[in-house]
Order: sequence, then structure tokens, then C-alpha cells
Amino acid sequence: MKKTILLFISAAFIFFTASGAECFETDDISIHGFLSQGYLKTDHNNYLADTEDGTFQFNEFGINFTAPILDDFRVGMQFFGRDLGSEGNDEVVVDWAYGDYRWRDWLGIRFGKMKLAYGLYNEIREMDMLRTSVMLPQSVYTELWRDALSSIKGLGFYGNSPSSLMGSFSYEYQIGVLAFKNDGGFSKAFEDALSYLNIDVKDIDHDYAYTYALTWETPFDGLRFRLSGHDIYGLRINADASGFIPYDLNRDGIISPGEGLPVKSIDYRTVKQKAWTISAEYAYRDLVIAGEYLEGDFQGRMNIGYGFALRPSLPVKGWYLAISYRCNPVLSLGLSYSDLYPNTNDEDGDLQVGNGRNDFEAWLKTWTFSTRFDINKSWVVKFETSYNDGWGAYDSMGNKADDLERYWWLFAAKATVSF
Amino acid sequence: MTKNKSSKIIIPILFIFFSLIASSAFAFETIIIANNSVSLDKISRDDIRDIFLGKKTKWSDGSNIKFYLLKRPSDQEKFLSEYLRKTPAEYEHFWMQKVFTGKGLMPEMVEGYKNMVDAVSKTEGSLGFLSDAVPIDQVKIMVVE
Repeated sequence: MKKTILLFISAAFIFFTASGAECFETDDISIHGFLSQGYLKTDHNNYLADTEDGTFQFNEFGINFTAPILDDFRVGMQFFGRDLGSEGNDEVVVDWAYGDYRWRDWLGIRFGKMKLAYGLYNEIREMDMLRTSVMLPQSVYTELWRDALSSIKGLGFYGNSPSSLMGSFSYEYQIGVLAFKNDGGFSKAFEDALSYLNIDVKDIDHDYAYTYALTWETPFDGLRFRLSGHDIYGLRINADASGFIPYDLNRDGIISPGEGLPVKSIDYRTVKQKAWTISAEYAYRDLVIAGEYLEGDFQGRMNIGYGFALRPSLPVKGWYLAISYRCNPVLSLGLSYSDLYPNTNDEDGDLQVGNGRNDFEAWLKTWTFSTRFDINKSWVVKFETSYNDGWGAYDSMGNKADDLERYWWLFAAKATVSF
Repeated sequence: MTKNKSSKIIIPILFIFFSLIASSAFAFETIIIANNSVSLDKISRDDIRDIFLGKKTKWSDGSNIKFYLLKRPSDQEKFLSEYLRKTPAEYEHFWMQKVFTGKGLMPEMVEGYKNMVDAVSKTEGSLGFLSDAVPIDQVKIMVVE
């Protein structure tokens, strides 16, 4: 079934882009799609994939269908697949599929699977042709949470106020469930964090989540602010383990090698998981300046077979500033700086060192320079280079501490076709 | 008349001539037209902007708003610049974000003034724009406040 969908999507791309179509419409159904293929290379550290050797395991594709049922009711769905290192592997999923009823300008209702409203760009992060840069700043759009925070399945309410001297306000509220996967980003990060216990996540689930976004389009043309955030309730993880916790079993005052409490399973439950972001964007003609600041808090309790114990809190902080300028119809340039601390209780990295890791794994500071070439309305090609200080990044490749370098470059290239 | 003297006269004349041609492209005003079912006679610039950005979808009587854009680049650019303060590229980018998140459909474009008048006159609650150089009587011309 998945291969059939992939073949269909590929055939659709070839047909529509070769015919120069900007979209495809029957009387009622509007069809759009995109396909991206990229390349990643780092001089040090394997970032999200086998990037030290260079990798083409970096692509996304999607096709969507939308149809108006009534004047104020619309349905649509988008199939999507991606590959980034060991994640995605081109598995086709339903990215969004929902009904949208606009009762009044100030109140609309969505039901089904919707893109999750968070920050300025979370909803469009899968669509490479909608921005100048290849990679979104990891300080706010970390790959760790990408698959879980991509969509929410449930109910959404949205609306906006009319424009006035104060500008206009719009809101969005969503409640439902997220898509956590046993082999997804969060599971992998959990396994990596407890790698000394040889963790294998068997089940990850939660009760529900909600998101909110409030946007102020100011009276100053092109300037808008947004406050957004999310809370996840009842997140829990069950994992198999095969390790031990060093412990003085024979009470002789010495922990001998191999002496400790065996761990065969892990039951992890969050006490809190929430994050909020404040965003600002100034978009005027060909210039876009954007900045976002994120804070989050994550804490859980864990039972390794000897009762639940509270784990240390993991407060995260990140921000970025980005500028993009469309020089002419073909060339756009982008420059950004991003700063991330995955644990603000350890900004200097002392805890990392105490755990046998490197201090620079406590932060990630990134300068990124991007170029985008619009070959025509359907084709975009991008080249991007990033200079990084630190490794406070989501490490899906399980890099060994001794192999990591503090300063490293990332080169990314990507071609996208869309219709 | 020497060559130098004649060029000093001809070049300014040519400059003025071509300037007039260039400016004549924007000499006609953009007018906003609506279906005769629309009860309002006046519309604010804010409302025009909100309608073409998909934020205002209903008239005050609760009826649905439908809008059309002209496909011709010069007309479109003038309208978008004057009323939405956006370039065509910005406007397309705005709607592409809506399309790829399921939050909207690309705006409907029509080819030429006649098709614009036809589309607006046949669609209840609809709004469009064209040059005031075109004689029309099937639709109402909105006064922009």
C-alpha cells in the first residue's frame, strides 16, 4: 500500500511539473504537491544522519487534496513522507486530514488531524519551498520533537478579529493527541540518554495534549507577534533494559565492578512537559526578519524495578534571529544565528562532564548562511552552510563522546519541486 | 541644425514620451466591484485587505464572500500593492502556506476584464477589481473608504 502511494505521488510529480502546472484542479478538488531531495555533509560529528561521509538520506515529499463541500466547509488531506538518517525512511503517513467549518470570522472549527500550531513556522516546516533556509533553527524547531509535534489529532478552534487601528488579532487552540512513535525522535533521545542501560523503547503514549497560538498583526505593515505553546499530559514510556545501576549490594562500603542492581525494564512517566514560544516577524516586500524565543520544562519519574524516583527537571531555552532577503526573482539570501541550551540547569556543561560526556554538549550555537535559487515557479534549489559551536543537538546517531568535536561545519544542499 | 543640437532636443522628447507611456500603465485607477447581491455600497481598505487575505469571509448579513483576482500581472501587482501592500510573490507565498497546511485554497484568478465582470456578476456575495477604464453595468462599483 505504501509503495503504491509512493509510486502514485512520483507519477503525479512528473506529470504536473513537466506540464508546467501550478496545481491541478477538477471542478471541486484542488491538488498540490512537493518533492525535496537534499544532501548533508559535516566535517566532524554525524548530525542527524551519517553526515561525516555525506548523505542523501534527506528528503521529503507530499501531496494534498482539498475540496470545498459547502461555501464555509472544506475538507482536505495531505500524504507525506520523509527520510532523515534513520528517521522517517520514506514511510508515507497522513500529515493532515481534517474538516474545516468557518462559522464566523471569529470562530471556525477544525476536526481531524491538523498541523500543530506552534511558533511561526512549525506548521510549514515540512515544506521546504516555503522558506529560504534548508534547516530551521534547532533552538526552537528541534528535530527531537519533530515527528511528535508535527500534527495533532482532535479538535481545533480558530478565528480572527477585523482589522482596526490596533491591527488585528487571531487565535488558534487545539486539543487532542500527538503522534509519538516507538522509533521516533523522542524515543531515540530517551534511549540515548539512558544508553548505559541498553534501553529499547517498547511503548510511548500520552493522555492528551493541547496547543495555543495568539497572533497580533500590528498596525505597522508586516509586523506581527505571536505567543504559542503546548502542554502534554500523561506522557509515559515503557522500555526493555539490560544493564545495572552500580550499588553496594553486600554493604561492604565498596562498589565492586559489576556490582549493582539489575535493570530489566523501565517505566517512565512525565510529571510535566510544556513549552512556550514568543515570536516576532517583520515581513515587508522582499525582506523578512524573524526572531523567536522558547522556554520549555520537562520532568518525569522513573521506575527501574525498585519504585518510582523523581528525575531531575530538564528546562530548555533557545532563541534565534533570522534575516531573509529576496534580491531578485531568482536569488534569495538568508542569515541566522541560533542559540540552544537543552538543560538550563547545566549551561556550562559541568553535569555533562560528570556523566562522562563533553561540556560542549550542553549548548549549540549556530551561524547559518543560506542561498535560494528559484529556477522557475515550480523549482527551487538551495545551498546552505552552518558553523556550529557545541553539540547540544538532538543526537539520533549516538555519537560517542570521544568522537565529538566542539566546532563543526554543516553543508546542506536541497532541490525542491512543487505544484 | 547640428547633430549635437538635434540630439539635445530629441533625447529629452523621447524621455518624456516614454515616461508618459510607462506612467500611463498606472494612469487608470483600480476599482473594486461587487455582485449586486452585496448590500453595502462602501467598503474600507481594511476590509478589502482582510477579504483578499482570507480573514474576512462573511458580509455583515452573514452571507459568504467570494473574491477573484485578475491574472494579468500589471493589474494584479497594482491592486496588491495599493490595497494589500504586498508583492505578487509575497501574496502567492501567503496562500501557499494556507494550501499546504489545509487552511485554504489558492484564490481564483480570472483572465481579462470581461471574465472578471462575468465572474463577479454571476457569483452572489463576490468581490473583484479591474481598471476604471472598462465600462461595466452588471456589477456595482464599491466606494472605497
